[in-house]
Amino acid sequence: MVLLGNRGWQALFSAGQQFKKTQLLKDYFLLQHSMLNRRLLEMGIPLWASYVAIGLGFLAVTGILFAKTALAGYLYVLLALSLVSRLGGSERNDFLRATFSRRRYWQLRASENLICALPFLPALLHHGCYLLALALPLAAAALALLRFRAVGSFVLPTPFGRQPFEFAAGFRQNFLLVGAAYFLAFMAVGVGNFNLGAFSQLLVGFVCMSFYAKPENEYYVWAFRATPRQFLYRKLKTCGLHFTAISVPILIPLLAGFPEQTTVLLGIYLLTLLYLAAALLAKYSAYPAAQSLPQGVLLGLAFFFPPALLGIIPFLYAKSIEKLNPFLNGTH
Amino acid sequence: MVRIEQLSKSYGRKQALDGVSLSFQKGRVHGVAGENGAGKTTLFRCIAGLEPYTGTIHSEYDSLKGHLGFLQAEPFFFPRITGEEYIRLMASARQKKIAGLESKNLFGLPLGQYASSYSTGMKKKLALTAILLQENEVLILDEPFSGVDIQSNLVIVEVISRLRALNKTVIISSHIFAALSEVCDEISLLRSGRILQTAGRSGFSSLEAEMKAVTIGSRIDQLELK
Repeated sequence: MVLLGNRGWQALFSAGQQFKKTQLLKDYFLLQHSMLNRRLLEMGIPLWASYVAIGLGFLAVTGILFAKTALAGYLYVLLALSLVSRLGGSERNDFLRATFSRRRYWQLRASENLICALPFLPALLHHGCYLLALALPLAAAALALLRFRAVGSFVLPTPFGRQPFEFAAGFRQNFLLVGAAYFLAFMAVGVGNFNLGAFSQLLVGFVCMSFYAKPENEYYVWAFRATPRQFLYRKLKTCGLHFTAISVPILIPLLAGFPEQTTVLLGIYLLTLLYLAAALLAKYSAYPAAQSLPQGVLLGLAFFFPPALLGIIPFLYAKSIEKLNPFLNGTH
Repeated sequence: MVRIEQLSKSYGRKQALDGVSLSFQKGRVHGVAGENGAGKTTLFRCIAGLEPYTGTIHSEYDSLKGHLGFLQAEPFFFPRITGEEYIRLMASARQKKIAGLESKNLFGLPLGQYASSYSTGMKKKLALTAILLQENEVLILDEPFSGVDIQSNLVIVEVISRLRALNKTVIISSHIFAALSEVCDEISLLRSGRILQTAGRSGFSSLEAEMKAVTIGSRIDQLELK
């Protein structure tokens, strides 16, 4: 102690603290990485394929977005922040707050938000959106200060509450994206950009497809007094009606703004309905397990070659009947 | 009436239920008691048709599950679904329409709020309200009293009595013997997947004494509390 002196000990203590902090961050992110890998492996896809698919998908979305609209920078930031905000769930954050000190908690949350926002920066810089590139990491770090309570006294009203649950829950979770799609549709009409309008239509379709990504708790299927056919018919009918309801605020201005493109717009609407049916049936074709490689391959095939839907939908329907039978008819 | 014969269920090597035979009569409340892991929930899930099993389950209905209300020990609720929407979903699953839901809000729950924001007890009360409004003939209530406040416990006890009077078949489980003995007409003791004993009201005290003897034994003495 004498040899080191007071300053020496302080430096050593500080280095130790620094090591602890770095180690904690390292351990935390290694754990997050393991959790992500396990989640991907549970989907039945090899890790390398998952990472390649995620990377290519990200590049494709980036490319399409910047090629199609002048507002791509803003949308891109919105997309990044909507992803970042998913880390702000109250349960997750309550756990982190209870586990780590206040300071460490902010460090972890700000770091993970920045890591999530990072992949979006190169494209923003490449396309000259310097201000947005500066604002994004700042906003991402600031979001660490917020906790998004799914619970609470405010309940977002939806027209879908009478027939829960996919659209009611999904709309409440993704209302910002739906709002963005509506905004884009009006912008498309305003600036006379049909492609942007078509993109907004597709965006809302993708958002609705995401409502069917995860299987529900088996109780929510078991509770139905219906045969698998009746159950699926009801689900498909509700899906079609609700999608139509969510699409109308996009379709009407687009049809009014681009009357010469009516056939294309209705074609996109009908095609999206078919994709939604495929997404719904893909969920139940794997039920009660989560969708994995076979469903992913079939949906991927349908995206690249839409006529394949004509074969994929009946196939997924037959598989869904088979998977739902034990829960609805009790034929385990 | 629901009759179970030689019901067995295993998870890999673990035998969860081993040749369970029971009969549940209309207009009677049947309790299933047993410690954690005894197989109560597995038994209920098998009756509900949520688990594959060996053995037979007979009932007067072509499909028992269409007439069965199942209160799970830990009901699951979607995030961003209100209490009212949950009740309407459960009613619509049985093709029931509910008019005047406000007056049927037995426990005074905040039905306009997200169900996932409810406390444990409120979740249980919401799930119970939903299955009561389904107007089922057979009700399985897995731990209906746990996590619920005293006032609501009184309501649940009264509800069970009314269900009995309406000639429904009610099957309930609890870790708390006193709760079961208050509402049940008969209680079966389940241990390690086997029915050890079934007793009517007159045999409840001896059943409780046996439960205590077997469960507690000399374990507390061995703890040498000071």
